[in-house]
Amino acid sequence: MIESKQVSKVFKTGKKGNTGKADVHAVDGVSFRCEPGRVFALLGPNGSGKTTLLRMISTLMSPDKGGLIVGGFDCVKQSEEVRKRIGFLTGSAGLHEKLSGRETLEFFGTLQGLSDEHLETRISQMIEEFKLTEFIDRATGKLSMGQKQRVMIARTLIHDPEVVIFDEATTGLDVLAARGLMDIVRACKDAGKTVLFSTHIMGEVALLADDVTILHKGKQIFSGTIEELKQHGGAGAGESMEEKFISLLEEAEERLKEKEEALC
Amino acid sequence: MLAIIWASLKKEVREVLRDKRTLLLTILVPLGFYPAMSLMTKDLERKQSAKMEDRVVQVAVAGWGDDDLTDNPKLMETLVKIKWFSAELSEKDELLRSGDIDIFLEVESEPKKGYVHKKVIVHYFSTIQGSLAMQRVSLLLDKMRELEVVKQLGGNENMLKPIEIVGREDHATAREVSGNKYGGMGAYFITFLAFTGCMAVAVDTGAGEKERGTLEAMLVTPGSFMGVAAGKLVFIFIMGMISVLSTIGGIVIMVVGYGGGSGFSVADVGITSLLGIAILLISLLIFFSAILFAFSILAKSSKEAHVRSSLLMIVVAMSLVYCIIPGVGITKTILWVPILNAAMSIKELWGGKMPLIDYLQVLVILITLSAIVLCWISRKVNKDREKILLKQ
Repeated sequence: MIESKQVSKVFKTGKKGNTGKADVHAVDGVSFRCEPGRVFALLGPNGSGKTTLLRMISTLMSPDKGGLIVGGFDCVKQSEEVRKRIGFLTGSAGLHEKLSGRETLEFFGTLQGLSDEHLETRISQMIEEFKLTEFIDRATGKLSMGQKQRVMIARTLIHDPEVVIFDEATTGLDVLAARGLMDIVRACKDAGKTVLFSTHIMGEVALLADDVTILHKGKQIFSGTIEELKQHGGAGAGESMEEKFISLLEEAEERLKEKEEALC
Repeated sequence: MLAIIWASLKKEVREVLRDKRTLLLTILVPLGFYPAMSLMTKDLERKQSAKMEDRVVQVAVAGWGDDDLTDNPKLMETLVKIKWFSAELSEKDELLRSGDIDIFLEVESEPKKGYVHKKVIVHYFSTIQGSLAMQRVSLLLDKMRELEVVKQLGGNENMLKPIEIVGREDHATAREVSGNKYGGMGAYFITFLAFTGCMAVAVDTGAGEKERGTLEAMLVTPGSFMGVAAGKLVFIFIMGMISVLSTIGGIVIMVVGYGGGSGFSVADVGITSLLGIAILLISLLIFFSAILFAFSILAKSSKEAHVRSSLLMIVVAMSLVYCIIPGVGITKTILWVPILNAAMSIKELWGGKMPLIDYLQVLVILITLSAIVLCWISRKVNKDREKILLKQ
């Protein structure tokens, strides 16, 4: 389970604006709750704060305000316990290209604190589950994009985490590889894991998500189930999911402008 | 923690064993550098001296005449490979510039009581070839002066040598000679290649991991970053050590292959000094590892880390030049200059002249600096973890 309570993160850019330092509110008072056995989608355009929020959940960053709880542990005070319980896969993550898939899993399994025996069992399970047999002993630098992606997923799940986070994980993948990843997301859900994935593609949300939160410029502009999103906005009830997403962003943008004008 | 350090080290070793370029730079280059350099210089030297030996030096003389030269058999021995002929002073520039002659002797004779005083101006080129011709002609002129004096003394040659050196005994040990001759160069290359050995892998361990997005994947595991970093530091240290051992191996190959006649063996240095050099090298490698890893982890990209490390490499190379200057020893000031103090200490230890107190001072400076760098980097990473470790 993941619980976010009024989480905020501000980046100090050091650039001077009219009002002094132009701080960037990357995440601004975001609250949500992801339950086990459900897929939670974090939706938003580029720069909306998705990656920052996920980095805070995975303890790579600390929130300036608010609280984050993962599996009952505080992300700031009990970061090591949190890290034991999460698997985090980002679209920008890479592999050690000189190592084989097996060596990669061995290395990350050790970092996760698995015993040698347990690690061996888990590697065998990963090989079978993600069909890695053919290339598991080949240097990852020589694998295709799809094969690399499968090794990265196995690396993320090697310690059988209860919470799995995918950050724009389909970026750069072809249709088949992206479909394969979505199957894994579903499999994680079926296994009773808490799944949180971020994307800017509405189609992925429609296919996978049970719950959705939409971010825009760090602010939460929608939070609810996928059904609630479909029903959102009486007049536009017949709109497609993508049109709904765009109209929500436009509404948020207008509200922001009005607020800025009122301040001036 | 130990399991994390070991896993991190094992991972780095696996990666480097598959990286031919790095292996070449850290092992083969230092191993082959000394023998190759020695082979090249010896071969060039041999060819050049053979060429000079066979060459007949052309000497034109104005104001002397050649009759009194060819008459004397003792002088003829020296005249071998010197062709001596008369010329007019007005021809001097033309002959020299055309390359027909190597030396032009301008002689002015002044009759004195009982002999003729010859004042000679030697015209030559201060090129390598010209200087060698000059040496041969100087030898001939010395011989001629000697013969003239003997003639004035009534033929008694012994009077020329009222004091004669009949023997020389060298009291310098093979170690002192070797320390003086090779210690500076040895210390230079051992220190410099220790640096490049560390540098070859350091950039990738921090900035490279960050750039590829693999560091982030490691940071979301419960394995502490300090454990991973410690494994990387040990790895950088080991690669530097391999580079040093390869350099020493190269020196040994050179000594065995081309310097067999020097009479020097590593055993002459003595176990205490060898141990002293080893401890010094370990401290130096810890210092290099710490500073290069700090550069790497603080850099935003591999390019930035490369630029910073290369700048430091230039500084190291330039400061180390000091230890190859002949006759220069360690001074109280040098004792305070990091890196150079270690290189100079290696040179002094090689020659057997390093006072214990100075040695300890160098050791303490290196260890203290390493500790400062490591504490500083760990504090900085803990303070600005997000900014330093995450790809922005």
